[in-house]
Amino acid sequence: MSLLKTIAAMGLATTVLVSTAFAQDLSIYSDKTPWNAGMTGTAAAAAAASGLPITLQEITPTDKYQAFMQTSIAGGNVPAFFTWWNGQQLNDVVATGIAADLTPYWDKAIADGDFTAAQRDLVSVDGKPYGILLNVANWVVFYNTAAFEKAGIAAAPTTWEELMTAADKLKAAGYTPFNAPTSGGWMPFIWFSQLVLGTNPDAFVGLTDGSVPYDGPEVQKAFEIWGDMYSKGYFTDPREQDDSKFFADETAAMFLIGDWHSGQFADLGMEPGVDFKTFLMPSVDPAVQQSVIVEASPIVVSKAALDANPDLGKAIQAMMGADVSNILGSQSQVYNGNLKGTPPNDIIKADNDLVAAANPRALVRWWEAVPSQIQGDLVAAMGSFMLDPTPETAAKSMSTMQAINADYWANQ
Amino acid sequence: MAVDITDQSFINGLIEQERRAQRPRGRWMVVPIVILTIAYLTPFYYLLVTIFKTSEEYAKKGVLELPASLAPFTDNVIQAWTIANLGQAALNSLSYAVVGGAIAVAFAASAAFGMTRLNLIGANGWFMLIFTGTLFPFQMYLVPLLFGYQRLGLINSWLGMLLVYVAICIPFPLLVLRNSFSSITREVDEAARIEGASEWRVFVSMIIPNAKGPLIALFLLQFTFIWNDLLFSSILANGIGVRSIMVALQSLQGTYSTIGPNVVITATLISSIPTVLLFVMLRKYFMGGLQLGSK
Amino acid sequence: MITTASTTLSPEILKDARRRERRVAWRQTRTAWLFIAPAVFMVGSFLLAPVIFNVILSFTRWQKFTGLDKFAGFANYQRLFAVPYFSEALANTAIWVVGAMVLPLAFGLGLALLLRNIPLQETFKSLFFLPKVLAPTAVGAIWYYVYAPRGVINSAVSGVTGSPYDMGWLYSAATVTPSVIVTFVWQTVGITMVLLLLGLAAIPRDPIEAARVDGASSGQIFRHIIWPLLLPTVLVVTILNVAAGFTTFDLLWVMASDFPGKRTLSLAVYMYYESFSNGAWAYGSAVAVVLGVMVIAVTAALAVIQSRVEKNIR
Repeated sequence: MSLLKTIAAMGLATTVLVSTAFAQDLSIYSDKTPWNAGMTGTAAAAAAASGLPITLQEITPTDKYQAFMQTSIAGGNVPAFFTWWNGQQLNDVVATGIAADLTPYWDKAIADGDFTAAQRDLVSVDGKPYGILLNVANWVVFYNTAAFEKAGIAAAPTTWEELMTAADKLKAAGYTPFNAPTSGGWMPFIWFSQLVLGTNPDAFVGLTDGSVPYDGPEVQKAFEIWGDMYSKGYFTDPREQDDSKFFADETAAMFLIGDWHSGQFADLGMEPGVDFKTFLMPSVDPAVQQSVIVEASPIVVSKAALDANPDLGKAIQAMMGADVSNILGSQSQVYNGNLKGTPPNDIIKADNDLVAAANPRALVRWWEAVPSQIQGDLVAAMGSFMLDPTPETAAKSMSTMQAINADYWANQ
Repeated sequence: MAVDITDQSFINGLIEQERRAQRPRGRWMVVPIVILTIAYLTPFYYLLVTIFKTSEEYAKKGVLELPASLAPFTDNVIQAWTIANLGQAALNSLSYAVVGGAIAVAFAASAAFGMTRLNLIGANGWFMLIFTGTLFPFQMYLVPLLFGYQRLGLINSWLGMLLVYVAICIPFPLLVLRNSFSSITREVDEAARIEGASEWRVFVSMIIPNAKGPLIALFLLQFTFIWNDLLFSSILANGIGVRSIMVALQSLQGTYSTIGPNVVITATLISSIPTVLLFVMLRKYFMGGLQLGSK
Repeated sequence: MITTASTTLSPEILKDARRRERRVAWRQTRTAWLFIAPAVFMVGSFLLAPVIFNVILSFTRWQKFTGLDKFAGFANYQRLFAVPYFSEALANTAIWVVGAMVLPLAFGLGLALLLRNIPLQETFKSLFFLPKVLAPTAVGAIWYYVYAPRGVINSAVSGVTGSPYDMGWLYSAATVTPSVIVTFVWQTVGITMVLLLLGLAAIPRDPIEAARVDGASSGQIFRHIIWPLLLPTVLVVTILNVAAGFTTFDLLWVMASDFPGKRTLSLAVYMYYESFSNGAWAYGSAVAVVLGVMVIAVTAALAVIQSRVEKNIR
């Protein structure tokens, strides 16, 4: 075969192969690999309801997933469903115009009693919902019941002072009070945001909209308390990368994290409600109203996909139904908030009861509220402090964070 | 210093000096070399010791202690293989490396032939054009490639990865083959052309067989490069069906720390086997390839 | 050929001959185009076009999802100096380049001189070269555990001192860059040594012998004879290592994955995080352009020096 013919054949083959890749991707894209079982079931239910070939595609870790979605959207090649975050993150996506307005589906779901209007607000931008709820979680403090017993702590702490006393008692009994790893590249923000929230909730909100500086008095106070707790030895080795380790092997007695984590502890052999329970984190300043951080993960639907394949609407309805809620709960211990679904375990049920009883102020998590572009850089500064919790590092972290924060808002 | 070189005793003295200078120094040098080599190979010792431990054993014993038995190795291999999907990843990398490396060297050889054996006007210009491909750091290709692949639908595709690897692996072989083709005597092609052979025939039958050494060495180098790649596969083809073996290995090391280091190290061993085997068996070609590159 | 015949042939025949030669040349060139086409196409589309696009990108406002079509002038380049992270990354990259330039050369040269005349040279050469064949990912994965708080180095130290030692080599800002550079040197010293051995082997023995007969010491021989003749090889090695020092990514990414300050460990890593983590695509492209300009400038300068040195030696 002559050279020219060979080249022509190769060119033709390439063109054919490339063009077949243009078809609309009807998958659910997700970065939440620990929830693989539940998400696969969800995709199957969606496929069954709509008659379309909907499968699950996972991309991990989170920053890779975000990069993929950003270039997909910029390149006009959005998959039909993809997991995302609410708050500012959802605002960014909706602003591009690629997300489908799910008002009719939510109206139906609320009318059917599957969800409440308050839950719709969690995934709304400008009053219109743009997501299917995948996970609704309260952020609570897990505690080891045996450790509390051994340390002589009768009841879960309800004030900050009680919490600090409990921590001292636990230390005396040989436990490290709080499990606080830096793993995953995102965990450092947990204690930072909790301490700011517990001293000044308005500053907490102001941090994420550019009105409160990261090196101002509110943040300085939080770093002082944080550093003080480190000097008293209240936290575990921050270099540990397995976020469950110290709690599971009972070195640490408490863990501030979202209540979806109960599933992971259950997998490690701890029984929810028996080996560990939860309580709501009290405010640092008793005068401040108690707040709880609510994390809501949506699944966003591509407008283009929905317009081109109206049957996807049936898939959306299925994903907002009780069956899918139970699939997620039973397979991955994930609770998507559906009132008709069963909470996956006692912990989540108990948390919902706790929240209902205490009626705290519900706030969006710092992770979702902060502009996504500076999210990673700010967390890095917090992580640096955790590795070296001295006043000098605190000062450096604060000035770095504010430099980044100021630069971002100045360029908006 | 005046020296009478015809004096036999002086010559003998020189020979004695030479012999004394060479051998005893040579023998004495082995000692520091051996010590250095042992220190240098400590990570390999660590690897050997770790792959035979279970996760509990690793957690309890000192990391440099010998394992209790050789048995846990199979379990580590199975764990590494299944959790990271090493089989699929190895297959992917193998296909990229073999096909990509071969095509790249073939394209480079073809281009080198065109530039050296045919009267290509502006041959140097064409060469510089292709060679500038190597000058830029890979970081400059990443974002545009990601974006372009998105638009073309080549993300997470075998073809997409192959094309990128071929492109990256062309410039260096071109450089080397251009030199080595230039050194083949002109008579060879002239003879064939007079016989009426087409240029393609000249290329395939005359030039290629004369450059077998560099061609094999270059293929080996490109194979190793593609097999070892992490960056491009991680950004352009991350899916389990198309990712390279290094991406699979890195996924083990990064997020899931519930897996003990023994499994991660075993995965490291598995993913290094092909390149190490090739190196051991074809060492001559690897070293030869270096010689070509340093010119 | 034409010139010698020009005195005997008429102008028309000359013009004809020249035209025929040009036609032949063009025919050959057209065939040559077919031969170089695949390589030109691949490199042009997948390597050169992206570079051009990268430069263009750095002048847009593309961040997160939007702004690809908005022109930003030099804003992204100005931002380089507004944010503290860029100067940190630049400083770390400078450390990397110096370390990559000097350390593998020093150790490689020492090893090459030691290995020159010993038995089993090939075995030792292969053993030292082996890490270069391994992927940086694999090397990084192994050394991650060497440097771990419960890793090889700390175990060895506690074994010697008797008390537990759990220094976080990869977790402290002061030690993370030197630690990864040590791993880089470990991986690179083999190929450096082999290249230097090749260079040493090419040095003629006569001048050395003559000098030894004249009573020169080893140090003097090295400084006045071996080093100048070895310089071209040293420069080639330096070019390779400097380029690697600028662009090392895999090692840093794998080894320092747990370190919160990992994004500024080098310009290459910084570019990756800004683009793929923060979604600041245009800004990340600007960082990549800066990195590219620096790499090309330094390697071009070294290449010019190298060819001049080589010419002088000949």
